Amino acid sequence: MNKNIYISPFKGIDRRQFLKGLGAAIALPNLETFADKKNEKVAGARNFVAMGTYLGWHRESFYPKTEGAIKELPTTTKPLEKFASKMSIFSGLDHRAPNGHNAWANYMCGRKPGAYSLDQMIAAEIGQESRFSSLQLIAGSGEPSAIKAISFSKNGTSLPMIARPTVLYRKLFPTASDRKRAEYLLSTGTSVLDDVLVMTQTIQKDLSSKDKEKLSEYYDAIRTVEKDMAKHLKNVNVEIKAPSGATAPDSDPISPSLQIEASNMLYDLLVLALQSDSTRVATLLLDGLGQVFSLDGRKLGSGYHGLSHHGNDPNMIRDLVSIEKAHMACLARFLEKLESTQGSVTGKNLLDETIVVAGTGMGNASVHDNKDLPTLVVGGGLKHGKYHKFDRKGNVLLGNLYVSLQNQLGMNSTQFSNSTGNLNEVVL
Amino acid sequence: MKKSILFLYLVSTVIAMADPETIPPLLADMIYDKCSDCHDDVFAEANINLDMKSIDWTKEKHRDLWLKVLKVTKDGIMPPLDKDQPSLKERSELIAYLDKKLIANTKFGKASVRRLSNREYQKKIQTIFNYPEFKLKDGFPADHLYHGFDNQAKSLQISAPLMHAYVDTANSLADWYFYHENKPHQALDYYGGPSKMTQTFSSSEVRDNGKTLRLASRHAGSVFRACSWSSDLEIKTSGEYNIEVSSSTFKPKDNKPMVLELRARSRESSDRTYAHKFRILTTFEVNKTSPETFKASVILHEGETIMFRWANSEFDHTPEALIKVATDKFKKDPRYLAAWLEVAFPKGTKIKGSSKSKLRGLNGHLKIAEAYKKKDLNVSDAQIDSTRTKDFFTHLKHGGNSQLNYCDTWAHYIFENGPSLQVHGLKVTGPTKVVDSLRKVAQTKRRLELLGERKDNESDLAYAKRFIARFLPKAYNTQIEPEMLEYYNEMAEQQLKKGTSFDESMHFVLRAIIKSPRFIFRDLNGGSTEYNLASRLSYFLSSGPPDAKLMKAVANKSIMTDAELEAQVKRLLPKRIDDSFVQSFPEQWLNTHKLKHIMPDAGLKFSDDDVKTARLELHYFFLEILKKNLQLKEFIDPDFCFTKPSFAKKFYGLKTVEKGRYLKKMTMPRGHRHGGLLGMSSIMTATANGVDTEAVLRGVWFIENIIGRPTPAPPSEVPSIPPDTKGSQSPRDKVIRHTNDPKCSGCHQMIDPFGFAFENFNAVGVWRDKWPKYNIKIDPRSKLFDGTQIAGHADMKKWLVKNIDMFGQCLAEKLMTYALGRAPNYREQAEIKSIVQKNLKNKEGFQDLIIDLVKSQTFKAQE
Repeated sequence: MNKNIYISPFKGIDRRQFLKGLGAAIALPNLETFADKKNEKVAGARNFVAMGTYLGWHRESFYPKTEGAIKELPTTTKPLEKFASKMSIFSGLDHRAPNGHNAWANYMCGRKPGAYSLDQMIAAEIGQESRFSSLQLIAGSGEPSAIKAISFSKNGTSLPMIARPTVLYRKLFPTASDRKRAEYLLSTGTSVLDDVLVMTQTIQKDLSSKDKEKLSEYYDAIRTVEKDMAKHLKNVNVEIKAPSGATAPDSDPISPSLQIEASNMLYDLLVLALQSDSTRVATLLLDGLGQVFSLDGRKLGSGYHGLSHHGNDPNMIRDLVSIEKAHMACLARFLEKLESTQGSVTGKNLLDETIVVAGTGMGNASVHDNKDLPTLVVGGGLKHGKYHKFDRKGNVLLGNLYVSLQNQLGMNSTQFSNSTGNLNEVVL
Repeated sequence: MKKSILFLYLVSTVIAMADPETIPPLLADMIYDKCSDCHDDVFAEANINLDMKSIDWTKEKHRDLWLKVLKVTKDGIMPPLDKDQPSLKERSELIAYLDKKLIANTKFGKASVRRLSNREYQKKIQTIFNYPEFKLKDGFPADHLYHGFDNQAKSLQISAPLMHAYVDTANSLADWYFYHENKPHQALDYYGGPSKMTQTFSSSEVRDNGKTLRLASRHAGSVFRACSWSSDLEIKTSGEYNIEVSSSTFKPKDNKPMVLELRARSRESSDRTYAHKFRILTTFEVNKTSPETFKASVILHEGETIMFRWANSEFDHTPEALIKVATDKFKKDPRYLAAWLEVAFPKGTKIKGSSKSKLRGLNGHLKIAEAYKKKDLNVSDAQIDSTRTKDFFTHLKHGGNSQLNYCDTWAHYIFENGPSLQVHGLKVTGPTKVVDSLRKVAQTKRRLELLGERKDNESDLAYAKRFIARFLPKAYNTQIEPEMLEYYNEMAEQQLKKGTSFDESMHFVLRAIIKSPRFIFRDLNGGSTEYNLASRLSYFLSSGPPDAKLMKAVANKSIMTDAELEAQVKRLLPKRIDDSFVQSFPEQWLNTHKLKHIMPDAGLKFSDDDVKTARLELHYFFLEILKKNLQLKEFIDPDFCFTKPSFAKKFYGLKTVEKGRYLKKMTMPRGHRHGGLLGMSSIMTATANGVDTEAVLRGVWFIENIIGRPTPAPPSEVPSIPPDTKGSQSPRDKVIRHTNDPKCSGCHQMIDPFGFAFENFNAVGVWRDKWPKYNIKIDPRSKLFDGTQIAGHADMKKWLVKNIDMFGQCLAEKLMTYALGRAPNYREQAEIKSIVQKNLKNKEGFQDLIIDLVKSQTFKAQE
C-alpha cells in the first residue's frame, strides 16, 4: 500500500460525499473552494440590477438584424436606442435548462431552476455592507405569488418579492414610528434574552455534562445574537433620509393591468435605493397574467398571457410586442435616471457603476421553450456597443456571460452553473 | 523494529493494566498478521489503529473501534483482496468474540438533549397555538441531515442565524396576537370610469370610447371569466362608505330588470378566485337603457376594491347556456353557424380543441367574424339539426376546458350584440364611520382565544398571571415548578409596573416563553420518566408535542404499562396521507426527499407533475402497508401499487383498465419489475442524477437503506476524480475498470452487484434494455456478496424476499434512529434483531413491528 503522506487538496470536503456527487458536480454552482484566487481583479462595477419578463421576449422584435455594432434596433428594443453605445445584446445563449413555465427561474439560477441565483451570489459578496444585501421586486402580479420567484438563496429558498411601491419606500426610508417599533423590539428582545439566560442557568443545575455541552451551543448563539442586536440597535433609530426631491408613493398599482405604471414606480424607487447606497443588488420580475392592457389608448386583443401564446398570429404578435416595447420604455426611463444621477466616484454616473441586465427565463412563451433566452446588458463600465450572436447549439452558455458579470463586480468567479468558460474577452 | 515496539507495548499493558481485557492470543496474532500492516500506530490507515493487545470495553472509543472491525470482517471488506486473507475459521472466531463482547459491554443508551427539528418546531407552534396554517418563514435556516434524517441529535445544532430566526419567529407570533399598527384614517373621494375597470379575456369589455363597460356572463367560477372591478381603487381605512354606480341595460331581451351585484374584492386575491368567495355588498335592479345612478352605503375594508357582476344573466359559461343562446342566433342567422363550424370544426376534419383552433376569447370572436365575411364560406351543414352541428354541440358538452374557451368567445358576441348589463362609473366617498379592519377583528378573536375572557374587575396583573398559569404547562408540556411560574409572573409584573400597556406586556412575556430553551429543546425538562416517554412517542409518530390523551397517561402513570403504550401507538399511528410521519419518515429513509431538487432532463420526458406523482406514490404505498398492517415482505414484492393510471401505463408498462386523474390503489402482479420499493420511479429518480444513472449510487443506496450494510468511506488514496476510463465499452465496464483495484473491490464487490441489477431502470425509473448512449444491451448479471448468482433485477428481488430479515433489521433500525434521534448501539441492535425475528417468524405486520419497537427496552430505557 502506498504510504506516502498524502494531503488531499479537498481537505474539509467529505470525500465520500464528493465521490457521490461527482456525476452532478459539473452542474454545481460555483464551488468557492475551487475558485482560482489568481484572477483577482479590481471591480469595474459596484451595483447589479436584473429584470426579467415572465413571458419571455419575442425574439425577432428583440434582436437587431445584423451582428456587430448596434445601429438600428427592432420594435421591442427600440426605446433603448439612445443607449446603443452602452449596451450589449446577446442571442443564442441559455442554460440548457428544462422547458416550461415551471422552469422559468433558470433565468438567474442556471441549469437547475431554484438553485442559488446569480443575484444572491453577488449579494453575498458585495451586498453585505449595505442596509439590504439585496431587494426583490415584482410588477403586474396582482396577488402575492407563492410559486413564481426570480431570486433563490443558497439553500434553494425562493425569496419573497415586494409588489407595492408604498411598502418598498417604507422599507427604504422607514417612518419615525417604524423605527421606534424596531428599536423597541430590539431593545426588549435583548432583555428577553437576558432573562432566558438566567433561566437557563437555573435549569442547568440538573443536567448531565453532555447536555450542558448542548446547551452551551444555545448560550453561544444567544450571545452572538445579543451582540448583533446591540450593534443593530445603535443605528436602528437613525433616520434614513430619502434623496432630495423624492416623494413617497401614495398608491399601489398592483393590478396586473397596471403593470407599466407599477414598473415605473418601482424603478424610480430603485434609483433612490442605489443612490442612497441602501442596496447594491436588485431583481425585478415582470409577471404575465391574463388581464387586458390598454396601451397608448388602444385596448389590446387579448390579455398579456393570452398574447404570449400567439401561435404566430400577426395581430397577436403585434399586441404582444407592444407590451414588451412598453417594458423597454420603462427600462429606458430607468436607465436615463441612472445616467443623470451622480455615482459614488466623481465623474462617474450611477449607470456606469451599475450592471443592468434585461432578460428572461423563457425563450419563447408561445411554445414554452426555454432555449435562446433574449438577453441584454447595459452600463456597469463593460465593453459595449455590439450585438453578439451565438450559435444556440454551440458551446457558449448564458452562464459564461454571468461569470464575466461577476468578474466585473470584483468577484473571482470562474463558474456559474453549467458554464463552459467566460465572455471576458467580449465584454470586459 | 516495529515488532519490538509492539512487544514492549504488549508486555507493558499486560503488567500495567488490570481492567482492559487481553485479546485472546490466537485472535491477537491474526489481527497482528493480517491488519497491522496498515492499521498500526504509525500509519493508522482510515484512522484505525489496531496496535493493542487488550481492549478496555468500558470505553466507548474502544467499542466503536472494534465495532468497525466487526462490520468489515463480517462483510468481507477487510483485509483488501490483494492482501493476505484470514481463514474462514479465523474470521468467524473473531466475529463471535467481538459480537459477544460488544453485546455484553454496551449499555442501553440515553436520550440526549436536542433542539426540535424545524419540522417539529413548526408542528409544536401549530399545536400549542391552535394555528394550523403557521409556517416557518422563507429563509428559516434549514436542518442538516444525519443518518439521512432531519431529527438527529448530532446535527441539530443551534447557530446564530438559527437563533435570529427563533427571535424573529417569536416577534411575529407575539405581533400576531398583540400588536396592531394604528394607521391614521384616510379620507377617500374616488371616481373611476370604465377605463379603470378590469378587463380580462372574457370578463367584460370597455366600449363607446371608454364610456361603457359591458358584462355578459354570471359565471360562478373564477372571477376573471365574468366579473370586473376597479383596478385602481383600494380602501385604506375600514369603514362605512357611500357609493354611487351609474348603470344601464343594453338590448335587454325582456322587461325583467337586470341585477347588478356588487361585491368586496380583496385587491391581493387571485383572479381565479370564485365570485361567491367575496363578500356581497349590495344589488341594484337596472331596467333602463339610459344611465341611471344607484346609491348605497356599504362597509368596505382595508385592501378591498369593488367588483361588479351581472347576477341574473342568461349566459353563465355552461355548455347548456351556450347552446341555448347560440341556437337562438344560429336559427336566425345560419351563416353565423357556418362560420363557427368553419373555424371550430372544419369539414372533413376531426373537431379541434379550442386551444388548437385558437378559438379563445376575443381572438376567437374575430376569427369567426372573418370567416362570416368570406365569400366562399361553406353553408351546406349550417342547419341546427345537421349531423355536423349536432356533433359540434356534443363536443361542447364534453369538451372540458374547451367549452369554457368557447364561452369566452361567445362573451364577445354578447358584448357586441347584447343583451348586456352596462356600468358607466363608480364613485366612492367616505368613510362616514370607521370600523375595525378584518385583520383587527381576527386578531381580537385569537387574542381572546389565547388569553381567555377577563373576569369582572380583574386587574391587569391578575389577568396576566391567570394566562401564564394556564399557558406555561401547555407551551412546555409539563407541570411547571412554582419557581418557574413565579419567574414569568414577575416578568409580567415588572412590565406592567413600568407602565407598559397590558398587550405590550403580554407581547413581551409571550416572546420570552417561546424563546426559552424549554420551548426549543426536547427532553430538557429533567422531567419525569413518564413524560419523557410520552414526548418521545409523540414526536416519533406525530412530529409534535404530546396531546391531552398522552398527558393524561403521563399523569396517571399508565403510560409505563405495555398495554397502555400499545393503545397509544395504535391511536397515534398515522391514518392519513398528510400525517407528518408518512410525509417525513419514508422520504428521509429512502432519500426520495431529493426529488424536490431533481429536475429530470428534458430527454426523459418526465414532467414536473410526473415527479410529484412519483413522490406521492411512495407515501401512499407506505401508508397502505402501515394501515393494513401488512408483512414486511410487501415492501419488496407487493401485489399492488399506488399511482395514477396514466403514469402506470406510461412509465410502468402496466396494463390496467383503471382511469382517473388521481393516485389510486391498483393491482400489480407479484414479481412485477415496478412493484415495491425496488422498482418505484421515485426511488430510481432519487438515486440517479436527473440525466443518467450511476450503478454505484444505487448500489450504495441499496446496502445503506435496504439491507443496512453500509460500507466505510473510501480510503484516502482513492482518487477524487474518476480514473482514466477511456476505451470503456459500457457504463458497467467503466465501473469495473475503476474498481479492479483490490483496494476498492472490497467494498465494491458489496456495492456494485446491486447497482448493476438496477441498471435496467433509467434515471426516472423507466425500464430499458439498452444503455442509450452506448446502444448496447445492459448486462445486469452479478454475484452478490454472499455468493448468490443473480441474472438481474428480478433475481435480486427474489433474493431479498428470501433474506427479508436483512431488510427487516434495516427498516427497524431506521425507525429507531428516527425515533431516538441517534442510531441504536450494538446492544440495542441486538434487541431490535430479536424483535424483527419474532415479527417475521409469526408473520406479523408493519404495525406490530412499530408497536414492539416502542415497547422495547431500547425505546423505553432512555433515562
